[in-house]
Amino acid sequence: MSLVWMLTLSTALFTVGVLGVLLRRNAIVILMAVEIMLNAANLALIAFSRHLGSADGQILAFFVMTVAAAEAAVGLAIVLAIFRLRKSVNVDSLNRMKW
Amino acid sequence: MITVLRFLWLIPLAPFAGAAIAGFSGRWIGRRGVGIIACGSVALSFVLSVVGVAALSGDLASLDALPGLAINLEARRVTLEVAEWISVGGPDGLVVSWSLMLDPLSAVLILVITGVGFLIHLYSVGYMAEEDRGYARYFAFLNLFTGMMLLLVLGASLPVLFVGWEGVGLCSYLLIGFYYTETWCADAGRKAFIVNRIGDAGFLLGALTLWLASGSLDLEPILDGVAASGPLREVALAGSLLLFTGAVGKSAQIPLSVWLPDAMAGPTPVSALIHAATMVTAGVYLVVRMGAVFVAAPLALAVVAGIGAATALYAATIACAQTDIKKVLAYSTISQLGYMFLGVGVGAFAAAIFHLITHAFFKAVLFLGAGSVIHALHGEQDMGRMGGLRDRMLITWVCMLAGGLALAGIVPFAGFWSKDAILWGALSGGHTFLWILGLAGAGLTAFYVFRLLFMIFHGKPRDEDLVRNAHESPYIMSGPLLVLGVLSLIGGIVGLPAIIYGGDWLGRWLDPVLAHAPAAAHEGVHSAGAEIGAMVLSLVIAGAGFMVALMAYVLRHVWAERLPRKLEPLSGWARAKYYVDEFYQRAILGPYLQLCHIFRQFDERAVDGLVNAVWRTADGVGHFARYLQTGFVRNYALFLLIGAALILYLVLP
Amino acid sequence: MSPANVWTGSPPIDWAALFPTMVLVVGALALLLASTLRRLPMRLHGVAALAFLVLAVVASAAGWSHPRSAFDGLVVVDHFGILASAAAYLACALTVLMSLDYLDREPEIPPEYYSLLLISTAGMGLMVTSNSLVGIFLGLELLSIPLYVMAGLVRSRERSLEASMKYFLLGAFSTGFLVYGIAFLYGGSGSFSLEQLVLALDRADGQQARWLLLGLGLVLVGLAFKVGAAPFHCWVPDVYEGSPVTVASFMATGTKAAAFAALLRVMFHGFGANALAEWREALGVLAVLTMVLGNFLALGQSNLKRLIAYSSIAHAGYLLIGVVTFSTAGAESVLFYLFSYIFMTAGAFSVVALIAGTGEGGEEVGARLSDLAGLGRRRPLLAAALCLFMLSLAGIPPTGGFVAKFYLFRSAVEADLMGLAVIGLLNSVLGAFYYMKVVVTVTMRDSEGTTPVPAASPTLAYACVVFSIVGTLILGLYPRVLTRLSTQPLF
Repeated sequence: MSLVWMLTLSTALFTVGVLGVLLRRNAIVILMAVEIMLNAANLALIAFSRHLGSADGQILAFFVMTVAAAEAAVGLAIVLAIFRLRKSVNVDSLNRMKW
Repeated sequence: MITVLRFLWLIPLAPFAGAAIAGFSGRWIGRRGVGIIACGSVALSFVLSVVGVAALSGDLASLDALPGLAINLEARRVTLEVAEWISVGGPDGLVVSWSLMLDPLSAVLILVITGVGFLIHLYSVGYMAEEDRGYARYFAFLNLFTGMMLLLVLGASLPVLFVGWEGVGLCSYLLIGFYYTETWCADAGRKAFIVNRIGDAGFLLGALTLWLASGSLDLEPILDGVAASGPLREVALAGSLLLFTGAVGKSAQIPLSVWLPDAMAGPTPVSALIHAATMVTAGVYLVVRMGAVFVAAPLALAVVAGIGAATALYAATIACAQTDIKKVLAYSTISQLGYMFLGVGVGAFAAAIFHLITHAFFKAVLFLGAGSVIHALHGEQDMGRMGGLRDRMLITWVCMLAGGLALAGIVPFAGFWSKDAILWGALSGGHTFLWILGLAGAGLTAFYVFRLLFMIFHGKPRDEDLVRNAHESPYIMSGPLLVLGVLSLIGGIVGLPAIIYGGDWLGRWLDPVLAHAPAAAHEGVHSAGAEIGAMVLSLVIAGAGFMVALMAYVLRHVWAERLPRKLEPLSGWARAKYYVDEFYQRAILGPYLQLCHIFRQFDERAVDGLVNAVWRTADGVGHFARYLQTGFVRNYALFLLIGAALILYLVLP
Repeated sequence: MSPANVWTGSPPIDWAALFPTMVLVVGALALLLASTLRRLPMRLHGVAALAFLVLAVVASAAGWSHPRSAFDGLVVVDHFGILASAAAYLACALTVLMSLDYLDREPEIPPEYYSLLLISTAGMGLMVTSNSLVGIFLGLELLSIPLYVMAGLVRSRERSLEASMKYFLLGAFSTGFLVYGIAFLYGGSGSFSLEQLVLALDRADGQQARWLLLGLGLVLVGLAFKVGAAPFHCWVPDVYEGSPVTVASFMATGTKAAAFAALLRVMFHGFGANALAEWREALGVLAVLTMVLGNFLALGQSNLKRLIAYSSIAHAGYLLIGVVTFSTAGAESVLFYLFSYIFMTAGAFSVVALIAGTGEGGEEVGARLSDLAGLGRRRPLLAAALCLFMLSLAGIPPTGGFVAKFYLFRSAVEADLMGLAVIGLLNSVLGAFYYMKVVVTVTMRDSEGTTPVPAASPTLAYACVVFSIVGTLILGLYPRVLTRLSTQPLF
């Protein structure tokens, strides 16, 4: 597969992730959408890594996965805390603070 | 002994410390404590001054160069740099230090300030005894004033001098308005401050002019540099006239004399210390101190002499027509300051300083005596209601008589010698017209002094109820009176002219400072006979003034009764102070206030309106725009995406 | 060849460059361990955290005369990095000082708070001392993830969790952009090093150049989000309002300082003169938008935390001007501004921290503007301190805020950015309106008696206020304490 195709796939994934964040109301789904964005970036990194013949990109991809895991852990904990308090994970109901 | 000069800064510091203690902890140390601190700090300052002056008169050449201490043997000048103050623009830029300078001129002045100042502090302890809440405040201000005055005369650079100059002005304002609950007292304080500010503006401009030409604000390079031709000499006329504007304001000369009579609203010891003995003479000091600059511009000297002579005569005429005891003395002070400026203007610098000293003695005793009378009469100041107080207040009478004789210029009292030195300076310098003005003023002086004394102490009491309970003041007040009375009698010794086998100590002492003064004032070019003749003539004229007063107020001669009526409207004008205040009110203040009103309208309508419009618009926009912040996290994410699109649009080609 | 060199397959690692970060991480872990073993007083945790911070400062300052570098530029301890991490450590220390007393009034916050604070600070330190996009990314995540948690530490308070959730979702969203941008920069330059990046920009053609510029844009999104520049600012007011006061203060001071330092380094080092027109235009537009939006939106606020949040957005706008200058003077003025901004913002928050607390129903009370009415009468010294911070934020002498604005606008004028300087000045006039509103409320309004302000606080609680006052005034009266450091080259 050529670099262009991989970048196209990565862009498509990134767009899906962005649209997921913008359109979905469920906090967990938004979290998943963010993960898709990060994975799109990972894909691009690895594609570039292969294209350039350097290992640096793959190393960053590992870092990104680690960070994504940490983010997911923290994110799920926050969602859990909110669910305990409100019995809902709809982000649109979170607007006590505005203006 | 000579190393004490390194501790010169203690002289002004002592009263400052006293002011701080009395002002901030007056409540805890009590009235007694305040009095002791206030008098003690000035006494300490006096002792230090004596020691310092003794050191100055010693052998300066033996003094090793000490850090921060610079010595000019020729001018007998010791300069001490205490600390750096302003340093702008690197090593070549402007550097101003807190530096003090002791030379024969400032030596004389600090002795007068601390000496007379101490006596007046002591007197105040008695005079202010009935003052309740303002006691500590009064002494704190008085101490602060003493410190500022010392800073003024010791300052070795124009900025330091200016700090003292403004400082005494501030204290003067605070003390004139001491009884600030009375509107007219507060108004008088404000008037003094504002009129002084006009002069101060001149002072500042003059200092800046000299700085621009010389590149330095220190006195030494300016005074030394002006003798040589150069840029400094070219601005000498402008610089000296601007500085003289400051002196005119501070010393209440024409046309800025209007504040001093009103300044009598303050407590009487304040009038004695600030508005007679020390602060108002700062103008004279300034002109003498900057004498080299004035000498470089003969026209400026002529202006000084002209204004001095005119003020001397003008104020004397007004003094003849006043009935308020302090007003008479205030106009007398203006008149005497005029004499000093006359002396400076004709080049008789030493004579002017001589008169400054004797005037400090005899005017202080007159004011303190007046204070004693006012104290005894529970605040009454109208001479028209007094009379016959001689037997009840013997000490006050004797002392005021001594002061009066000195003021009137009767031999051998102190004032005779100093005033005569000035008049002789004018005559021998060829200023015959100014000399005649001075002589006329001397006659009027004698008249109003004796009018004052006769109206207070002689004849029958015009208000029995008022005078009945009058009594002599306590010793703490009469003591300083006696000392100053004696000084009024013998103070002339320091400057007895050579012509009557005196030593002219003062003249010789000041010689190193006044080396630049015109020669005519130094050694009489006229014969000794002329000098004796001039003395006798001025004595005769003073005697004439005395006789007129005697006839008018004691013997009640028919002719003297009719005199004032004959002199209408002249005497009426003098009584009304020539309507100068009214003139200023109509010609300057009125239009000025109208202009202010216009500006105020502009400020309120246009400027404030504009600011408020901006504020209202912004507030409105802000209130509307904050609804952008919807609180929905998905909207925020949308904003983020829009922002990303914006950035990519800007960044991508 | 000596035997020693035979074994070094990779260049030796200068571990000293990592010391400050290691001290903080070890400190955080030690505190975490301690809190699981035995329940110690919260204050003890705070004092220990302060001690670790001091150690980190010492470790960092020790490198002043010998700039170090490790992991091929992943960690570079240069003058700029030392000063910027000092700013982050200062922000953390002030936060710890104001937490010591504040946590007594928010009993729900657990002892892990101080561990999270130290880890976040370590992330800041890493972020500002890295010449590599990897280091900047890791530092950014290391500083952000603990903050997501800290925002929501008051788990029974809906606003606190809402703040946490909003911050987390948007933060993760922006991280996606950042990583994606880094990927493209990598693709264009073949390296994560900023030095390689600027070289690649020089020789890039067609496709590669487009990748690089795309990467620049996306990385800018990620960093602009962290500094709180418009239109990426939306999270700032909500998160500051909902978070515990001290956490909001830490976000406002520490995060802003670290993010600005990283932004400055990336722009000056990574893109520099080779993409100057592009990034300057983008940041210039952001600066204007940020100043205008921050100031206008602050005008209508009635909650002090929210008002300071908008004010921090406005200040981000001013700071962006300093970045746009692309000059040494601009970089120095940004650093100076950050220091004085930390003092005055932490000072303002510390006053709020002294007043605010948990009211009935678990909601936060005392942070509304109306709660401050009459403070001048009840707590005159505290009110005076708040007024001083407001004056400094408004840029009025003799405070640090004035000198900072002066340096900043001067550097803008010197860089021929007249337009930005004028807009900045006009905006600071606008800013004066709402800062003065606080001053007026505090000094002239009478209290409406709705919320009781604590009549006094323990002496310890004033430590942060006093430090902030001293800092604000020293930077205002004697700015040379900082500016003389800049005689050394920054990078």
